[in-house]
Formats: sequence, structure tokens, C-alpha cells
Amino acid sequence: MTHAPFVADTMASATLQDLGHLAPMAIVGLWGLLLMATDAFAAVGFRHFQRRIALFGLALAFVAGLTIYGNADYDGGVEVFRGFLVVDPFSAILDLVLVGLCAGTVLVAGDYARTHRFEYGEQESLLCIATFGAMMVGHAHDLLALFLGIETMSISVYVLVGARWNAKPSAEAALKYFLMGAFASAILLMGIALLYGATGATAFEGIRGGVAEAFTRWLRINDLARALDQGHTASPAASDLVIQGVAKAALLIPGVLLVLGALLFKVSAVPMHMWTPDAYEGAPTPVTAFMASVVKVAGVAALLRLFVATFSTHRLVTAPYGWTTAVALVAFLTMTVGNLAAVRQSNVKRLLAYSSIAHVGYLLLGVVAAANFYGEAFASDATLGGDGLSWSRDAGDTAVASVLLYIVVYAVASLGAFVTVAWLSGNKHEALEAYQWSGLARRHPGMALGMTVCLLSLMGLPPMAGFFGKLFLFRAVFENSNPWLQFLVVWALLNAVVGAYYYLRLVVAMYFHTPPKTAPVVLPGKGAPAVVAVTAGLSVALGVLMQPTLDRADLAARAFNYPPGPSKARRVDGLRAAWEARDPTPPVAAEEPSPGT
Amino acid sequence: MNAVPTQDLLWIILAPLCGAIFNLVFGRLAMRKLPDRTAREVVHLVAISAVAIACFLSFSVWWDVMVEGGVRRLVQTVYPWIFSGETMIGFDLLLDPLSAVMILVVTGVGLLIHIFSVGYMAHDPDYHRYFAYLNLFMASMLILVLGKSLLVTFVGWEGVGLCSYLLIGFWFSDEAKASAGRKAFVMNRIGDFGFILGLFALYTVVHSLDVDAIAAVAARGAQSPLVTTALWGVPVATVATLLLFLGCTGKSAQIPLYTWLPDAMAGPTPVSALIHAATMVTAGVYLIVRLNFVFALAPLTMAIVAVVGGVTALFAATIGITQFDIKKVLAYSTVSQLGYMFLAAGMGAWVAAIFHLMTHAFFKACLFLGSGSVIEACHHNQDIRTMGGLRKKMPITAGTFFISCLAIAGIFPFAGFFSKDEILVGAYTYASEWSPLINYLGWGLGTVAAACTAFYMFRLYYLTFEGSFRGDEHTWTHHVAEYPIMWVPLVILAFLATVAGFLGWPHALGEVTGLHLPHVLERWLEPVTATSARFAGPYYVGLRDGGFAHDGHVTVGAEMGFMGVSLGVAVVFWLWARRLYGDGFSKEAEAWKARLGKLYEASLHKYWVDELYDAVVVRPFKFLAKLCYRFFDALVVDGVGVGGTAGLVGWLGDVVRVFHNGNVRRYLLALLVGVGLVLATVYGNPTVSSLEPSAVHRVQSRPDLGGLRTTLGAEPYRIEIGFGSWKKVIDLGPAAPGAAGGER
Amino acid sequence: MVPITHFLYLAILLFLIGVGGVLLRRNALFVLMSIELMLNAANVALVAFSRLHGNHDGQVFAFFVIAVAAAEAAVGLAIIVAIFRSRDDVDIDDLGLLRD
Repeated sequence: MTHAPFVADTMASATLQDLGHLAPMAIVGLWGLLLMATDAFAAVGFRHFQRRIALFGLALAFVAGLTIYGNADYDGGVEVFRGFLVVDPFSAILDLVLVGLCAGTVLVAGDYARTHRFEYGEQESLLCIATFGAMMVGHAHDLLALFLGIETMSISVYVLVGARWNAKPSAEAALKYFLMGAFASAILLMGIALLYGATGATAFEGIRGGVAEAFTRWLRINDLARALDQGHTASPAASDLVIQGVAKAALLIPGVLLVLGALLFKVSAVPMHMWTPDAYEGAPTPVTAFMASVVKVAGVAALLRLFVATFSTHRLVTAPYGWTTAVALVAFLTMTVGNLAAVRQSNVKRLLAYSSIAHVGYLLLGVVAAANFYGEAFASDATLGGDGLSWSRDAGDTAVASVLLYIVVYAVASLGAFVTVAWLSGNKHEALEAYQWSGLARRHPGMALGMTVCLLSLMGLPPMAGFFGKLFLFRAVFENSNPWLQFLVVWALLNAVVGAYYYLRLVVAMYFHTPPKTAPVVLPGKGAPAVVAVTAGLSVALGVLMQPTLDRADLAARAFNYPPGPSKARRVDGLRAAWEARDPTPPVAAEEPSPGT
Repeated sequence: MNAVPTQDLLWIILAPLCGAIFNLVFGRLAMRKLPDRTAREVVHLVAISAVAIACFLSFSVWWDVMVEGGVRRLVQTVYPWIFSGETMIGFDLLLDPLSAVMILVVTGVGLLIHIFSVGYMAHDPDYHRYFAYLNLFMASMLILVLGKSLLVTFVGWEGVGLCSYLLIGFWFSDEAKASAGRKAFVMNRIGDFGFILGLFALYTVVHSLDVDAIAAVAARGAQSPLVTTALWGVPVATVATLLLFLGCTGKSAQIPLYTWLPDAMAGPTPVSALIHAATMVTAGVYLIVRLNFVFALAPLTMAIVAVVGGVTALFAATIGITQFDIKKVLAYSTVSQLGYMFLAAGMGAWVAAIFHLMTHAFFKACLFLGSGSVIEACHHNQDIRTMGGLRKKMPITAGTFFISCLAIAGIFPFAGFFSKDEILVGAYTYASEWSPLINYLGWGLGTVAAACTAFYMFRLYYLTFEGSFRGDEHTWTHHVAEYPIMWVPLVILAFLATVAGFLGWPHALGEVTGLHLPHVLERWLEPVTATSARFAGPYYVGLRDGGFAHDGHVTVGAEMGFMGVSLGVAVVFWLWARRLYGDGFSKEAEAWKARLGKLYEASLHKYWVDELYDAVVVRPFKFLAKLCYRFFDALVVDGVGVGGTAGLVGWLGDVVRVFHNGNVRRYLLALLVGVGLVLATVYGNPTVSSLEPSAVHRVQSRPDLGGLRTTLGAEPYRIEIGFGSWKKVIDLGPAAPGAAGGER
Repeated sequence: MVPITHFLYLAILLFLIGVGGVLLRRNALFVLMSIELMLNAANVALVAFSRLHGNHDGQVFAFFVIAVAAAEAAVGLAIIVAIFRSRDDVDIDDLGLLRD
């Protein structure tokens, strides 16, 4: 952290400048408050304007996000608010994705609420504020930012889940989600407190330094312990060293693990996933879509920011003190349980909920792989004095990029799928049973096609983005020489087969079964079809244009696990430079002057 | 000569692609919403102008840059396509003399055929779909030709295969036509399999699929790793080229994978002209010449290519003699002529192969379009037994058809004479590992095939256009007239078929006649063939020792001899065909039929190859498939595998569901168990629990701690662990400001 | 002076009491209060560590936690009220509408 000395009169301009860096997030947050205000003054007939205002703000934020996304100045990462938040390509991608997902939800939520007669003006406001929180997580460079982001998002979502006051399951889902979420928050906070105790900092850079220091002291414990066992009198300095290392680590490791547990809850990993199907089912379906996309993206972003980027020193990722064992174990459980539970589901919402759990399992594998690679890179940097350009770091970057790619692709397809479910609930009884989807392709070919594309993307069928997501993710994990991880990749592939079964069941129902006598009523308005069209289109387009997408994700990853500075910019440029530097001179013609001219 | 970067090449591909997209997206709408005539106008104007733009760009870039500007290599980097680890495959386009010839032929002939199609397909309800596919085909073919990396070429290769499939089965409601499309697709897939494996084989050595990179590796001749590295005990060059050649036999309809091409005549006739005569089927030849430096490193492959080409040329020609379907005759003729090209390529006569490719594109397209006119005129009747005397009704078609027949039969001075002669000369005089045996074989096969060619082509011409009409009265009176939109392309193509041969004016003719024209094509392609021409030893490409080399050329006497033989053979068989079929089926023809007996039967039934494939490959395959289905799939997979697995998975799913019973407290407990699990992965680890206490508890802390040292007014830096007698005090040392927390 | 360890013991004790409350109580209100207890345990630890390290990060953090806890409590109470309205009790064992 390099801070300018604290000078009062530069403070205001610095703040404005920082806000400029954070424009998308600031706009979304501001719009959350603005919408709250407009709702307070709104006459009854004014409510549908809320949606337009919200969409306008989100469009504004999206444009702001685009300017940052396209600006190479941020490639190396810019710290704002004295290192509280950071703006880099990673956060720029997340900003765009989160704003887009939020806009998708906003397009459907109003129609849904009106149809189900629980319309309320704060809905758009809460969606914006929750997205603001999620974006804050994406930008987090400090434990406080992470915590505040997660809480801002979670508290808004609790309200959104319980907002359907005229249906009992909604409040029940809200209470379940709230109690578990608050419990997890408390655990998270305890973990944070311990981390702070161990490292004396809440900023990620500071924590990284503290972690490194703790383990540097600890490195000699084995030697000293052996020496002491043999009866030598250790020098006081040596014993101090041991104790200091142990003491710090004694706070550090439980802290890391508690935070990890809480974050695994947020991404709904098994066994902290229990709330997911219930909350997803009970929530208004657009909110479910929001939870399955925005909240999940934020959770994964938190894991990446804190664990992959910060807690990836060698000691902290490898057994016996590392956290990756836990995540690998949880990933195994998550994908297995998620897929198995989805197989026997007839309720589409629950089915998709379990499927989203299964996807988290795959993602966690990528997290483990990335951390392992970074750990190796850290060790080689420390012992060999490398400049950080090792193969392991590249492999780690690739793994982070593939995780980022996967979560984005997943979130897009998942939003589309849930929005289709929301769209099919034009009357009080939502068409949630699979048989009600029979023959949908005949009644609504467009929507059925969109849903199918989203499901196939979730399933991972080749032309869709989901396939490439899985391909790159699993490849990155498989690169890791750890046989257990390689086994988990094979296991994940088997799980993907199970996943294909229940996704295809829906597709088959839509296309090959005869429609029931009573057609499901659909939502009015063009919002849902538009969202499904865009998500399905993106699911195909991201697959077809995979290389630019991957390049972008790679860029984000390259700016990720590296302190800001010139070396980072070097790394960022490396890929492109290698491409540009190809020798375009044709060897055939170069060897001999042409006899033709 | 360095490659010059350019931006124009992409538009040559994009133009037809845009046309295809337009017609795919809006064509249906236009056909439905607009009046029929207007809609068709819109559709074909878009399609034709797309191709015209491509054609114009090709010609302008060729003329302005390559001819006038003297730049022989243009490279365009479109897009870093696959870029992963050490693999860098760019979507790069390359315009060099070889691909220039190809794009000129493809866009030129393609444009004419597009124009012709307007007349031929005038009443088809799927007009937009037809033109969309045709444009898509053009784009794919141009990708194939312009690709700098073999993977890009492969994209085009698959694309043209797809379009071919779509267009053969264009009238898919007819089951036979749809199955012809499928047959073509499957046959091509077999070839593609070889192609991909060939690419892999090359990649193992070169680590790139870029043509230039491969050239650089191959340029080292006998020292090249392509030769020195062995794959299954065989040099990689041989393995790779054999596999690639398998791909070529599929795409270019050579033995053993040729049977799809005659069936492919199920598609609209302009499609046959464009795809199955002029362009797509020549892709295999193009590929071999493109990779001539690799093929030249594999003498075995070269010999196989030459022999397969020669045998195919003769084999298909003998089938063509007895066929009655006008398009089938032309189809077998195409197979036969492609055989010639492979014969040339296999002997190392690269220029001759490309020369024949080009002239064949002109006269065969003309023949196919002419047959299209005839078929259209005869109300979609294709049987020449019910034709005859059509010259009176359609003089222009007959005239152009006749010119093309002269060209394909190799009559001086039409194009086919020059190109075929060059192939036959090359077959006889070029060096090979198996010279001179292979020279005699290749030349013999080629010459006999040339005789057959002259015979069946003129048989076709006379039966169709001369004599008296043998069909019903109705067809004769309600004959469809010739429209300019159909005959103008014919005339242009016939003109090209007449004059194109002068691009390859043989040296010997110059000596004899005193007309010293340069061999334009040979000079033009020099940069492409230069690498393989430098090889020595077993990989030598060029004239063999036989006393006919003189100053780099075949001696005048030898060349004139070959010309005389082939011309004589062609003329003799032309006249014989005229005698037999000049006025319908003569008595003599019947007598010959009876005399040849079984041989005639065999040719008529295409040597029962389809039946053979059916019996040897298809049926056993189906049987095997059925067996697999019955036994393996139904019993093992469905019964034990799927049934068992699904049952197991379902049961496990039920087990998992038991835990989700809706009770929050159980959920909360699960959460805590999860956190416990996470903690247990570290603290449950025996390494950790055994190490820690021994390390911590044995270390004595410094006695003089006293808790007095303070930093920044904070607590002394110490921690007490435990109570009472278990109490341990841990000194954290002086707090180092900034060490951990930075400057905050 | 009180050594840092004692603060830590207090925090852990509070935290465990909170966890016990969450797991054992069936009244949603008490569960909520237990969660508040856990948050405050973390606050104690944060402030103590702030003092140990001699910087203010922990104290700042604690203030934010207090604010967040207030918001969380408000939302939680609102949800509990909604539940109470529909079923006249707030026993979390009775929440059985949503299940597999």
C-alpha cells in the first residue's frame, strides 16, 4: 500500500477521483437510494416507473463499467480509498456481469410481483443495493469491504426473499435464509477477528504480509523442536521465534478456516447448502434468479479475492495447515450431493437449485487448483528468488481465468433458466412440476428454445459457452499434478453425466411430450422473453467467441495474484506480445530469391 | 520475397458469407412477404452480388498486387484463434500464387454458376435456401483455399463438406436424394478422419499447423525431422501424407471412397457443376500441391497417390462408357479426371495437376451446366436413351457442349489437350522411387483412360444432341427455350475451355512452331513448388534419367511423340464414337455390347462396387451395430449399466433428500458440522496434532517478560495460554509497526 | 494489565454461548439474540486485537459491525413478525412448508 500523506485539502479531490474509479458501483448504490426516495414520493400509479428508473441507472452503470473495462490504465489494478477497494480487470468484468444480471432481474421482477399481487416499490431499490454489495465484494481489497459487501447484499436479499407477503413459503424461506445467513455472518466475523489478531491488518495486502511473516517464523519449528527434543538449550531468541510463529499461526489458521466456512455457506457448498433449495423455492422466482446468479457470483468473487489471491502462500494452501484440503473435500461433497439430489427432483425450481449447488462443486475445484498453483509459485519465488514469472503462476492465472469464465457463463445461463421458470407463472400457481413443462416447445417455441440453450449450456454441451467453461476449468484443474485433484476431475465428469440426465429430462419434456390440457399461463410483458433471449444468445455467443472471452478472463487473472506495479503490467502485456512477436516471415520464400520476378 | 500484410483477403470470404447470412435470415421472410418475382430478385441479386464482390476483389488483388505490384505473398492475420499454452493457431489467410489460381477459378466459375442458377432454379420454392447454401459453400471453399494454417483449411474442408451435404440433399423430401447426401457425408467423414490424424501426425513433429512452419521444417530435405522421426517405424512424413491422402480420396472421390460422387448427382445440376466438378472435389489436389514439400518427402505416398490416381482415372472412365444418365456419365468423368490430377501430383508434376485442375474446372463446369440446360429442357429427364437431336432446339448449348467435349477429350488446341498432355508426359518422364515401372503404369493407365474419355464424351454428345429425338412427342414440342441467363455462362466457360490451354504452352511446341510462348502457369507457381524442387537423393522431384531431359525440359522429340499418341488416340476414339452413336444407337454398338458381354455388364453396374461395399462394409457394420444394440446396449448398458447406475443414482438421490427435511435447526447444525469439517481438515490431521504440543510446550519462555514492554501505548506483546499450572506465557516480541499491517 | 488472552477467552466464550443458543433454542427470537451475541463476541475480539496491534482497524471494524448487526436485527425482526402473523408462533421447528 502506497498512500499519499494525509493532507486535508487534497482529501476531497482524492475522494472524487476514487469515486470516478468506482463509477459503476457508485452509480448502482446511488440508484438504490434514489429508488428508495422516488418510491417514497410515488403515487400509486407511479410504481412502474420504478423499473424504468432502475433500468436507466443500471444502463448508466453499465456504460461506466464499459469505460473502465476498456481502459488499459486499470490493467495493473488501481487502489482506491486508501487500499480499501481495488479496481482492476477482474472487478471490471464482475461489474459488467453483475449489473447485467441485476438488470435481467429487474426486467422480470416487476411483472412477476404485479401478477402475483405483492407489488412493492422498494423491490428495484433492494435489487440495486444488493447488487451494490455484490460489486463491493468484487472490488474488495480489505476484510471490511468484503464483510460490508457481503452483508449489504445478504440483508437486501433477505428482504427480497420474504417480500411475497401473501404466500406463506416466502416468509418461511426468508426466515430460514436469514437465520442461516446471520449465523454464517457471525462465523465469518469471528474468523475475521482472528485474522486481524494474527496479522494486525484488515487490508488484503497487509494480511498477505502478515501471513507470510507468520509462516516465515514458523518454518523452523520442526528443526527447533527436534533440537529441543535432543536436549539442547535453545537460545531465547530461537524460542521466541518459535512461539511468535506458533502464536500467530494459532490465531491465523482458525481464522482462515472460519472465514472459509462462512464463505462456503454463501456459495452454498455442501454441507452448508441446506438453505439453498428451500430459500430458492420459497423466494419469488425472479429473486431466486438473482440469488442463483448475482449472489453466487459475489460468493465466488469473495473466495477468489480472499483465498486465491491472499491466502495462497505455500504453507497456507498445502497440507497439513492449508485450507485447500477442506475445499477439495467440500467440492467433492458438493458436486456429488447436488447432482444426486437433483436427479429425483420433480420441482423445477428445486431441481435448478440443486444443480446450482453442483456447479459450485465444479467451481471449487478450480479454486483449489488456482490456489495450489499460486502456492507453488510463492514457494519457488521465496526459495529460488524467482521474479514471479514461473510456470506455476501462469497455471494459477489460467485456473483463475477459467473459474471466472465458468462463474460468468454459469450465472448467465442460470439467470435465463430461472427467468423462464418465473415467466411460466402467469397465474397464482406456478408451473413448477416438470410435467407442466410438457410440450412447451409447441406452445412457446421461442422460450422453449431459449430455455433449452440455457440448460444445454449448464449441462456443458459443446457449442454452448458452458462446454468451454467446463473444458477450461477441468483442464486447469487437471494440470495440477495432485492425483487427488485429478481424481476429482474424473469424478466431476461423471457428475456432469448425471447432470446431463436431469437437464435433458426437462428438454425432453419440453420437446417430445404432449402438452397437458391446461396450458401454463405466462407472465405478461416482454421482459422475461427479452432476458431469456439475451441469456441464451450470450450462452451461444460466449461459446462461439470463446477466445476473446478467455483472453479477457486471462487478463483479469493476470492482474490478480500480484502486487500492483510495473512487473504486473509486464505480465499483462506478455500474452499479447507473444502473439505479436510471431515471426510472420515465410521460411520458404525467405530462403531463396524468387525466380518468378 | 517477404509476405506483405494485407486487409483485403478477409473480405473475399466475408462477402459470400454475408450473402449467405442475409439469405438465411431474411430470405424466408422475403419469399413469404414479397411478391414471388420480387423476392426471387432480391434473393439472387444479393447472392450474386456477394459472389461478384468476392470475384472482383480476387481479381483486383491478384492483378494490382500480385501481377502489377510484383508481390507474391500476402498474409492477413485475422484473429488469434486458438491460443493456449504453446499452441498458437491464428486464423491467418495466405494469398500466394497457388491460392491465387484457386480463388480466381473458384470465384470466377462460382459467379458464372450463380448466374446460371437463376435460370435453373427459377421455380424452386426453396430459392433462398439454395442461394444461401451456395454462398455458404463459396465462403467455405475460399476459407479452405486461403487458410494459412492447416486447421483453418480444415474448417473450410468441413464447411464445404457440410454445404455439399446440404445441397446434395437439397430436395430432401425425396428419400433417395436425402440418402445420397448422407452417403456423401459419411464417405467424407471417413476421409476427414484421416485428415485430422494426418494433422496430428504433422503436429507431433512441427508443433504447428502453419503451412510456412511446415515448409520450413520440410525444407531440410533428408535431414528434416519429418523424415528422421519415425512413427510406428515409418517416417512421420509418410504416415502423415498417407493419412492426408485418405482425406483427399474422400473429398476428391478417388478409389476407394469415390462412390459418393455419382450419387451426389441427386443435387441440383448447378451444384454438381460448382461443387462436384469445378471446385470442392479438387480440394484434395489442392491440398497435395499445397503440401508438396511434405509429400515429396514421402516417396511411398507419392507412388500410392500416382497409382490410385491412374487406376481411378481408368476405372471411372470405363464405367462412364456405359452409363445412360447424362449426369452419371459426367460424374464418372469427373472422378476419372480427378484421377488424372492425382496421377500428376503423385508423380511430382505439381504444375500439371493444378493446370488440369483449372482447365477441368472450365470445361467440366460448362459440361455440367450444359447438361443442366438439357435436363431443364427435357422436363427433368436425364436419360440419354430418350434424347437425341437436341442441337436443333438448343444450338448454343450443343455448341458449347461440343467445345467442352473437344477440350476434355484432349483435341488440339483446346485446353484439355495441353493439360492432359502435360500430365501424361509427366507420368512418363518424372522420377520416382519405382521408376521406370511406375512411369509405364501411370502413362499406360492415363493413355487408355484418355481413349475412354474421348469415347464416352462423344458418345454422350452424339446421343444427346445429334441424330433424331427418341423421347415422346410432348417433350419435343413443349421444349423449354434457351434463356440468355443460362447460355451466357455457357459461352464464357466454353471460351475459357478453348483458350485456357495457352497458359501452359509446352516448350516443345514452341520449338516446332516457332511460337515461343512462356509456360505462364509454371512460372507463376514456381515459388510454391520451389522447395520440393530442391530436394535431392531419394526425394528428388523432376525428370528421371531416361534420355529425354534437355535443358530442364523434355526433349522436343519425346514430347511431340507423347502429344501425337494422345491426340491420335483421342481422335480415333472420337471418330469411333461418332460411328457408333452418330445417329442414335447403331447396330454396331449393339454388336459390340453383345461381344463384350460380361465386361459390358460389369461396367454398366459400376463393377458392383456399391453392392460390394454394401456387403463387405455396410451390412456387417449394421449387423455389428445391431449386435451391439441387442447384446451390449440393451443387456449390458441398459440392463446393468444404465438401469443399474440410474437405479443407484436415484437411490442415492433419495438418501440425500432425507436430510433436506425442512427443519432449520438441522440445517444450522449441518452448517456448523460443515465449519467443523473445514476445521477438522487441519486440526484432525495427525501431523498437526502431534507436532504442535511438542514444539510449544517444550520451549521455555524468557524469564524477564514482566509485561512492561509497551509499544504505541498498547498491551505488552504477550499471550498467556492456559490457566494455573498449565499456564504458558508467549512473548510476541516488540511490535514492529508496519511489519504486518503496513502503514495503516 | 489484562493480557490479551483473557479478552480472547471472553470472546470465545461468548461465541460458544451464541452457537449453543442458535443450535438449541427453538424460538426464532432467541436464535436471533444468540446470533447477536456471536457478533458481539467477534466485536470484543476485534477491539482487543486493535489494542494489541496498536492500530485502529479493529475498532473501526467493530463500529461497522455494530451498524450491520443493527440492520440485520431489524430485518430479522421484520421477518419474524411476518412469520408470527401468518402462524401465530415463532417456533422454528414448525417451519415445514419447504422441504424435499
